[in-house]
Amino acid sequence: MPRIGKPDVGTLSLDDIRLVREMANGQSSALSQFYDRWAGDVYAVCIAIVRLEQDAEEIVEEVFWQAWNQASRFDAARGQVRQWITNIARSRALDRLKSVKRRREESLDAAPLAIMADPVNASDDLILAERASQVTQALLALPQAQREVVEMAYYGGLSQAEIAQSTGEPLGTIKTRTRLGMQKLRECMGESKEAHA
Amino acid sequence: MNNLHARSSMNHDDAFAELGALALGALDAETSKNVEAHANSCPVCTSELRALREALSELPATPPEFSFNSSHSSDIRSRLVSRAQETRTPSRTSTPWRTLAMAASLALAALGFGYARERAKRTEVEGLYTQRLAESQELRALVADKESRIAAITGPSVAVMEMSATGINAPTARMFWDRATNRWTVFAHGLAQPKAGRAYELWLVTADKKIPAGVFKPSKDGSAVFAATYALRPEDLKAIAVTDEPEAGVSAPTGSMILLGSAAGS
Repeated sequence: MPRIGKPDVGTLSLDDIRLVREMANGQSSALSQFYDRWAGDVYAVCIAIVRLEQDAEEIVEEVFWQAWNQASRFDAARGQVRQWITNIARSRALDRLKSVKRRREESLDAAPLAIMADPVNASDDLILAERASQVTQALLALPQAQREVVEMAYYGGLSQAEIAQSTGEPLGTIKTRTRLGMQKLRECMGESKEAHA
Repeated sequence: MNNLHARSSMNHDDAFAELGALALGALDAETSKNVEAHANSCPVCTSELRALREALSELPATPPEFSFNSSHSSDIRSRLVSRAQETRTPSRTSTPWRTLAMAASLALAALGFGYARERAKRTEVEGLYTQRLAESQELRALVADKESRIAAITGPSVAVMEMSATGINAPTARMFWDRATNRWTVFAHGLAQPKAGRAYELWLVTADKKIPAGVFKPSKDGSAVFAATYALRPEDLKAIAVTDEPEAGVSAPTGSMILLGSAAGS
């Protein structure tokens, strides 16, 4: 899927392959450079899936540590570095989500659940919305359930089936949320064009 | 409409309902193929899919309600590098290898030097083969990457735009826009290293908006190669620009202008 705003296929891949090779050879400076290059993308995948900043940051560290330890296994002929590192991030984030879900199910305390269910409060949303572009505002204005599905797919790279599995919601519900959420983003785009016409 | 859809196994209403998920890349492979097959033959769905993708392209690089705390990010980097330095022990001198080597020597001695020589040779050849195979795979990937880049800057549909700045030692850049594939490739030189937590962001400027095309950082020598894919009508592009922004990227420019190029005559 072409996505503007993020480096895509081929971008800086020569440097990336060199860095991974240096990591495999034990050069910690390469790990530092590699982190600077990919931390933003990895964080976007993690936060879109786990929705909690502290968890996402812990996973980012785990992801790069795994990359450091498994750099010698990276096969440049089988895929791009971006795909490799975001696959690790996705897998780690899904593992964390499963464990969080287990903890939620085991807990009888309702208050932490409410906090976990809505990490951003309404006033934060308003401040963010004022600063953001119209489409971003439309995303922030979506009901939380729809916004989560759109973000898990767009930033987290998850399929609808994976989202259903990881959230425990029926696939039909996820499909409906996707459709409604995307319709609203699309409508916002239309309104934006009409306003500029 | 029915004739147009004859080649697709999915009807219009079903395909239309899945366009959002297709734009997000959230469909399974088979459904994705069927929806795309329909969309390719249906002007309504083609237009809707383009609009959905355009809407997604406006989103920032990180979910808007979250941002990666740059101080936390620096801490994570420091911890990773420290751990990496602590564990960086050349494998040849590690205890398990020494133990294994001693055990192997004893075993080989027991089996006889002739056998040992043959086995060593075989191990050496296997090692060389594995190494050459890995190098070959790496080279194939590099060649494919270079071919892709050459195609993106040499095709008949490629427009070239110069980007420049004022001042001594000012950076320069050249943008190659392949209109047939919607591929944008920038080669830049002389860029200063951005400050911690900052990066360069590329913008495609039209009459009514500035489209964020991604963030990048230069190599140590100040050069950078950056590519993105975005569909834009040739007449819509007015300028291209690079600004200094937070490394997660922003949806509208906020930082200082680093490079600017006009689309006139492109």
